Amino acid sequence: MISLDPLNLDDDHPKTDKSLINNDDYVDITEQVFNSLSLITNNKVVKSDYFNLLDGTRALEVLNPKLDTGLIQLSQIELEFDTSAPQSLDQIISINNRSIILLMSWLNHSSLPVTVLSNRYISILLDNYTLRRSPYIDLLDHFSFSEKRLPNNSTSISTSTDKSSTFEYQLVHRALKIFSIGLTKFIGICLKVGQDSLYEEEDLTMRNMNLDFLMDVDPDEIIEHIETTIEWLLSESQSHTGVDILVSQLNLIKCLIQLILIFEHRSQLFDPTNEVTHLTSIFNRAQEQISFLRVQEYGNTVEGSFSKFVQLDMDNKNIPSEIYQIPSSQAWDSLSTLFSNISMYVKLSNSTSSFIQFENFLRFDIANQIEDFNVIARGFFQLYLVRDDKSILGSFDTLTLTDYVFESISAVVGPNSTILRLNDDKDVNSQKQDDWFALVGELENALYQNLCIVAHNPCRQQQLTSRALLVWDTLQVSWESFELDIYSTLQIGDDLGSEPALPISSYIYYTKLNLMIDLALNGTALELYQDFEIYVIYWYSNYLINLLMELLSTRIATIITNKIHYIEKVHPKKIKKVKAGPKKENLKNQHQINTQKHLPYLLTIQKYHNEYLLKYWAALSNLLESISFYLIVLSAYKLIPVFESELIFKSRLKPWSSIGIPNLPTFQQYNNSLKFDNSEPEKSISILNHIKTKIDSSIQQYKNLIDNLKSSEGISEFWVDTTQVIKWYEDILKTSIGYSLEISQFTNIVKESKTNDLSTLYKVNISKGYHKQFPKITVKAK
Amino acid sequence: MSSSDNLKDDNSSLITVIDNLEYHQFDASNQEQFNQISHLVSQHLSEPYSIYVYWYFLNTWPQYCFIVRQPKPNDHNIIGVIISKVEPHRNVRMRGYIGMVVIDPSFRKLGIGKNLVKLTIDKMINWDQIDEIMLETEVINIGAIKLYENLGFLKTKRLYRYYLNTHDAFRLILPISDKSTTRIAFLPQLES
Repeated sequence: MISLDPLNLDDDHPKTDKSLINNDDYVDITEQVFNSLSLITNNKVVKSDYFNLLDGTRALEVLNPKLDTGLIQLSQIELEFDTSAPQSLDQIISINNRSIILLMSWLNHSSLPVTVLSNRYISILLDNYTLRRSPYIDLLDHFSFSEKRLPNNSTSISTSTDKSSTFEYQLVHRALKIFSIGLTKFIGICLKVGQDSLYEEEDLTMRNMNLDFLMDVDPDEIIEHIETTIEWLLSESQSHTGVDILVSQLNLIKCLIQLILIFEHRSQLFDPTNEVTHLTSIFNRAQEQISFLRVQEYGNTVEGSFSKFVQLDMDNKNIPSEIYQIPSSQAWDSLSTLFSNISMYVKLSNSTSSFIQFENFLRFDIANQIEDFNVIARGFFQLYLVRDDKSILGSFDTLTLTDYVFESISAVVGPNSTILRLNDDKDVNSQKQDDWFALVGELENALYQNLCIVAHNPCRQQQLTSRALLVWDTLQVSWESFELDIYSTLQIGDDLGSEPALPISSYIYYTKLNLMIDLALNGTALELYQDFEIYVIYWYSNYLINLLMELLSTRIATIITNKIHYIEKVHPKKIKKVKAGPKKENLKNQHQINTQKHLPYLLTIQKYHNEYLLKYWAALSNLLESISFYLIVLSAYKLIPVFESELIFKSRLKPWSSIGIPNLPTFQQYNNSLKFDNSEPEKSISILNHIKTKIDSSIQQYKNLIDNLKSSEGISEFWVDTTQVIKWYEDILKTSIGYSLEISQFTNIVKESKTNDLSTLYKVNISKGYHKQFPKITVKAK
Repeated sequence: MSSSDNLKDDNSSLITVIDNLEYHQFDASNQEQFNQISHLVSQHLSEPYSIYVYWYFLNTWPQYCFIVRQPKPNDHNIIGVIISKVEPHRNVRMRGYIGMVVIDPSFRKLGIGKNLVKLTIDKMINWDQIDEIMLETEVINIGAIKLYENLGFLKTKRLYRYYLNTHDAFRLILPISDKSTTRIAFLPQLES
């Protein structure tokens, strides 16, 4: 029951030292609150228009123990803990070790108040810094472990002025302080990265208790102080055992801060000779510190040094929680993963030699692996990939975003499409050129958005892909109309004999179909579909794959063949026909570029399409078709249901519903696809044998694909590192083999049973498979 | 006097009796019902909610809160509750939202949750002609997911680390009208 007596902050804190509480600092507003409450007569919630349900679910509630941090009880030791007091070397090392573990605990989906800020040294340091910061005083003078509210606190603002201190005092005010400053700076970096590239709460909880995490402090200045402190510690190492551990902890913090150097590194995109040893040496040094530090033995931290104090004491919009600390082995693994993730993508991204390699790196090494990435490595990647100037890997001097778009188009339909040179064509009027620039701009934005998808968590990847479909669908309509118009009015654009080739629209359609298939199959990875929905998704995906294969093997293949034909046959004839002079020289120069640059690239793309893409899609199509057939048979035997209403069917396919081309399959087509008569067991067995043959051919296709990826003369040239792509296909291969066995077992069930309704005897079980896009579908006896 | 005696013994709120359990509509003027509901929810849901959340739902959409009680002379306390709302979604379709379903553990596996959801669906369709119903549930709550899927809900999104306990959630939608199968950008605005 709320008391109407004047508020007394020590009322409910019998353990609290009364001398620590000064009631004069507080204003009693009890009367005003109750007076205001008396004015509310309509039983309605009084709130700001800007306060919504989401805010409500995060709202704190006074006097509710689950929601009111003001009710947290602290011990006398916690209340009186003096962060400015000297501590032993062992104690400093233990405090730092726990801080590192709490840092990784924060990055494991927790919040700062219950992890790093539970460290009293860090919270007091930040509290004092937030009040004291000024551009006119020296870095270390900003930071103090002094708690003004404690009686008789021994304090020193500057380490340099305290000449009479002991080693233990210096440890606190030099080593522990610079460690805490460095760690805090790294948290500040994470918060900034989080704001720019991650989702608040679901990826990283960024609520900072209104503390300034050293956002404006120069990291180089901190590193300089770390190095000075390390020098001092090394000079003391003869007389104190364990200094090497503290030095290693400081070196680790230095490496964490130095991670920001990856944003300053400007690569030459598609140049495999980029120099990154200055970055890899940081990653290697960090791993050395981690290996050393994780095997050391650490004592308990002194009582009161880690506490819920900050939750009670500071501006807190969080609910009360216990301190959250993951096991140390998990923390060290996670920290090691952070560095190895960043090391991997810095090395690989700077080793790619072509757009195709770069695209495969983004797909197989980043997007497909993203759930195993440390969250900060994910956030860093997004900012590392696309810089503030919108350049890719900072390559703005050599490759603009427009160039990147053209590279992307070239990798699908070949280079040198005439429509992409429209801006240089003097015969094209300014209106058409303006339209061209606007459309290229839209294409840039769409591709930019695609690049921003790869490093997000898998759930967001799915949502952003769904949104991207609308953009690419609209682009296809706009570009198709533009290409047709330019071709018919100005006869500009590649052609396929008598009709326009529409290379840009074809590229857009190709990209869109890829996104549509990704969206469908990644829904399986997110476990969105029930058994009967999996059939629709595989059936629909297979339909899209067949359209994609048709596009690649007909229109796109012809565009590329025609470009090759032009370079090899048409252009040389043009040269022959022209008399000697500047025009002939220009044509000859163009021929040289064509034969030395464009032709080899066209042949490379042709190889990539024929020896990889078409074979990969064919194998996937075979597998999806086999599983779809299998699911139809299971459905006929009443082991899985079907969509009973068109509404539910359309609802499942809603993400693709607005796409103009290709049209969504109708409910009628879906029902027709399910027709299978299982009244005669022999016929069922024959169909099942056919499915097994089909899936076995898929197995062979995947084996060939993997062999080709492993062979130096095969298609490995299209990957900068084939480790992940081989694993991806090996997992699908295992899936195919698993399905082949399942189909054999089900064939035996059909042979032995005399009924065309197996629902009373058997049930279908869906579980995690070898590959995330393919769950295991097992028929089990009931 | 037990707390259950404070619950209004008002048969006007009684909707139905199933398996000897009474299904009532929440009475917004009954403070004791409000207290029992918030107590039941805070006891059995993982997310801690402030009083504002209860007020937000129960005061704005009291008609969409249904409670389950044992008939007298048994203990007449609330043993199950469903709390929902209905609002225009992006001003293009009417969306029902099931916010909380809580059943006292000793009364689980009796189909009470299913009855409450069915009752809510029925009322939302009749009273507000909704186009769809949406809700979220933890990915590990297999029982709840099965319940909703059996009623026709589809998992439409997975929400990364949605809950405070860091679990992912599934967003499920039950389509009621064709509007639910069309993307928002392609729907006309609702008439005001």
